[in-house]
Amino acid sequence: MQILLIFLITLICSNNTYAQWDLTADVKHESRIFEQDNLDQTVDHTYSISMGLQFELKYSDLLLKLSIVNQINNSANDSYYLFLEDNFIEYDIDNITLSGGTKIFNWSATEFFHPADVVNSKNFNSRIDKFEKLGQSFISLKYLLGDGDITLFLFPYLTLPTILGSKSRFKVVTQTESGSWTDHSGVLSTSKALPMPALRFTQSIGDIDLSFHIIKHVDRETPLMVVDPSTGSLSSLYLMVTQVGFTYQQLLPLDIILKIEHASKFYKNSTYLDSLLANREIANYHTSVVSLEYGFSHDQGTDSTFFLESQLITGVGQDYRASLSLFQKDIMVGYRFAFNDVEAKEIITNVIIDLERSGEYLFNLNYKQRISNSWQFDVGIFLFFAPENSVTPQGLELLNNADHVYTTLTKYF
Amino acid sequence: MKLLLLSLSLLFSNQLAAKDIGLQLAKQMKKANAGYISEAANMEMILIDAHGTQISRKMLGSFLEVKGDGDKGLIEFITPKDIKGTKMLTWSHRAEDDDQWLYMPAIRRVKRINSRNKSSSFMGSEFSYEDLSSQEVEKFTYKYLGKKQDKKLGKIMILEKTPINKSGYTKQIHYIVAKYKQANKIEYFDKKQTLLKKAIPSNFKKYTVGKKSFWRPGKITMVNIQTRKKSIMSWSKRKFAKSISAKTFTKSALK
Repeated sequence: MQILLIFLITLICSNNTYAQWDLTADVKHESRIFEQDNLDQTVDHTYSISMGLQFELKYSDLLLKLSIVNQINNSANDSYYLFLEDNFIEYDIDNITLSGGTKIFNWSATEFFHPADVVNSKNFNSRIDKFEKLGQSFISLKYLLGDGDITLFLFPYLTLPTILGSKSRFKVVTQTESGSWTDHSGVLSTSKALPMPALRFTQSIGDIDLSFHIIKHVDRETPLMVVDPSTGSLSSLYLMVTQVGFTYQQLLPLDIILKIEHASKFYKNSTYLDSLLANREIANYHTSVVSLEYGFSHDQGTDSTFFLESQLITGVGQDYRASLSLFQKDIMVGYRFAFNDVEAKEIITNVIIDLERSGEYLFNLNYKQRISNSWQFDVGIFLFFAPENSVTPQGLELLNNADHVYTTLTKYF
Repeated sequence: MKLLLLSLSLLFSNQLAAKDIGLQLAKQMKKANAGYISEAANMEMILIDAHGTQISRKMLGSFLEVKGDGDKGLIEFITPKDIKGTKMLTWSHRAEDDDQWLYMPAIRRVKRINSRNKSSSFMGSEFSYEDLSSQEVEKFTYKYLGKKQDKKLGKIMILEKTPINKSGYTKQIHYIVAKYKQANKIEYFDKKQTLLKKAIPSNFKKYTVGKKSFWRPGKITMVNIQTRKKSIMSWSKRKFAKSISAKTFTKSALK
């Protein structure tokens, strides 16, 4: 570590023309004001203050990135968090790239539903339409192939999500202790040093972009809520899963972009968990998303884009899929209007309608703009229409009565 | 009757000649400006709205000449800081629509852009994606409109370009300075055939790569006649034939 630091300081101070470095920072204040629920244990006005620091150094074929975020959050379980984002070193040799460290990945091609994007754990206390991701430790070997690449990954260490705090207005089950997870044999593990392999292939062919992935890892998207027999308290159980999936993008006639994303999850059957699962069945399932995007320009130089995106979980029954995701058979209709002016003003609105659970839908309206060259302002509203019909809330019922307005103010340095 | 036929045939042959000369001129320009191998430059774009409010955007531009196809280009945004790290990769093609991808660092996602919707504003400026893409000869039909003499610049040839594929313009009129083999004024006409924008390239500089010399403008001022908005694009630290790996222009390298 000391040698690396000395190397970095020497490179930066030497004014080497081949070494380029950059240091940036940002401070973000995010506030959410919920419709009052008159409950003492929940917080109706939440806020978080995040301070991010990013450093980048390029020297010949070597790239070093460092990026951390400090966050204070009044609705999370802990009031202070330190998130590692992109902290990696990368080296290029001809058609090969070697990388290692922590990184935020995005394997998705779609706009709202992202079944293929599973590498990083998420900060569930962040905004529901764009959860912040936590850096995942990795080692990778990428080989350029045609108009794409093939990459082998090894994720050596498990990073668990930042779960919703007990003060949160969302009724997604909360828990106060760290969760448990299974290893490659399906046995409960206590070690986060758990190597998880993956392979991803990407290729562009004419108007088509496609990717294929296979990953064997601890599934942190859909934890099971179980009662820990030793403590009697609720706990999250993360299971080992093999996920196979793909993304597909194609430019169609009439200026439409078609996007398809699919992920199939195959869980490790294990008798070790019988007592914990209490006869609950663990089923394999498939998530598919089909998306259409159509954009056009107006005479005044402004742009409009329409989105239509649908997600469907198959391979399991209606009740089971409702327990897996907020959006188990849903359609999203969205519209974006960009003013294309000096302040980069933009309005985005979307409605997500549950096609299976009648009467459930979500509405979001967002406006953002730049203020001078170094500030950005973002304001919006989320409305949830999902009256609780079941004893155990499922689907969007988990977000019922959590209507809120939000603002984000970011200063860049 | 004979006189009418003669007049018609003369008119027809003049039109054919105008088209032929126009195409030859476009090919000559392409040839004169080819051979740069690669280009790297710092770019600045100043956006000025109708009230005079200004905002600056700084970028790094890299371009690669591709034999047998259109050029490849990568533009990376440095400022404003909220879009720092945003990258736009373009693979131009001779006749087909270009391939374009946008990397958005905030969500670490590479998104394919519909390059058929070329008339969209490039990052809020008066330049459209179409204005900044490689102007391949095969993408237009041409008509030579004549020439004029400028006291300072010498012979200026006037060339009308009509796009073959879908475009935000019905036609462009280029005023080509013979000694630069570059336009010093371009007029863009909208779908109603009215003048929409005017580009004024200036600060021409001569560059030499091997035995080949060519001219490039150091500044282009794009004025929207209809909205009175203006954008100024300028280049600095421009270097040609710099060693830039072809790998830089891949989708994989965007992330």
